[in-house]
Amino acid sequence: MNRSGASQEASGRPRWKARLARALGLDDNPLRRASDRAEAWIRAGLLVVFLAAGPIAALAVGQLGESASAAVPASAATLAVTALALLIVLRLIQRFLGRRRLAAWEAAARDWTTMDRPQVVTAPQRAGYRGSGGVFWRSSRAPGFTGADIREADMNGMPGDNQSGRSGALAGPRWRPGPWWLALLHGLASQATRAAAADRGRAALLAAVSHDLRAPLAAAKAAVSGLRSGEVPITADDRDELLATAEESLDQLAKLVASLLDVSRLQAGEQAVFPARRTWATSSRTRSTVWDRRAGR
Amino acid sequence: MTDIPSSVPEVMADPAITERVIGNLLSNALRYSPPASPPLLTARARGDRVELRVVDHGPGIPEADRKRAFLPFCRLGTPGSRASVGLGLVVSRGLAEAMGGTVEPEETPGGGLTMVVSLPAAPALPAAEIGAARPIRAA
Repeated sequence: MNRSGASQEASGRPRWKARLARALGLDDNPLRRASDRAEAWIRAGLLVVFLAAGPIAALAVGQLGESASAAVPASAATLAVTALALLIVLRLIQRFLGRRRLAAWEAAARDWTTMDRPQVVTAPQRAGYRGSGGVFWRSSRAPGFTGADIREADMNGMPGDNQSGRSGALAGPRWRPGPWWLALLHGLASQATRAAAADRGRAALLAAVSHDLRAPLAAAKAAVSGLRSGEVPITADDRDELLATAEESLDQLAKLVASLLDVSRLQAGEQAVFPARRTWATSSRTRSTVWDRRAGR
Repeated sequence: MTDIPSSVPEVMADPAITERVIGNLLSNALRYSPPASPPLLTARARGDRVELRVVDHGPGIPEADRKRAFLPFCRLGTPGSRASVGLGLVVSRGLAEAMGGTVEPEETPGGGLTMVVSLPAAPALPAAEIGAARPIRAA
């Protein structure tokens, strides 16, 4: 392999630069919010100040001579310590807000799961407000809960108290794009929770569909096992019924898997479409077929 | 029952996807329709679009729940009902939108639900090509 080619990203950008940009949070990841970027710039600036304070002081002493030999290093040390302190404070704020939000999410999820079977809803991205979407545990019994609210809420929504009788993501305060300092705090908090929330979202999604996946699979397996078992004599009617059960269950499973793949493709924007001129006269034949099949005719 | 006049213009759509969208909506309509009142299919031109309506006289969906019905894994039946997974409407709307269309719920006069699929009408063909045009046949 070409060595120089290996050290370059596909875009032609040197790999070390791309890695550095990723490490500093300054890469072109489309999921990164503007607030994340602002925070990354501030952090990178503070790091540069911290690292450069010593060399600059040494340079200044060399240039200015004896008169500055005491004052400049002291100022440089103050600057470096201040930058370091600010870096630490930023990190602490991030961790504090992140933990608080995680705790609130977990509390809300616990409340709702005790009320009803939890269901998972992924919130779409808000226009002009980049984010990774979110996952909400909701209860169909929660009063005041509407689809509009779910669409409105997103990962940046903070689960509120369930005491108000409304579902948490709606009743609680929400972080919205606003003043730069609020956006900065928001970015600090959401960065810490995003990875954990994504993991939790995948787990919750599996929990929501696991019954729908397992039930038909178990029914089909039981039917086939019954057919293969030689312990109990099976009449022709029993055999037909078991085969029908297996077929129906596998159809149900195939439909669910196809729907999940469809949703996945649609959410990823990868649904292939081949438009063509189409008359309703043509579709009426299709429609009759579908109609008859659905109606069991 | 169908009500599709021959004057309804062609649409610009993916035949396989259109069949899936219509199939999903028909499946829902048949599931919830009373036996004595089968669903009705209508198609009408509206401006530069064609609207297909799947009309049923089942229990319908309350106004407050209509947006929720299009969310993944949302089941609006009785608690514990597992008649569906809750992806049919989501997939139908997503597929229609991928073709530049929409799927919207409406209340059926007299009770029930009407799902309106709106698809872009195909642009008019030049006069010289009209004779040569052949409709796309579904498999």
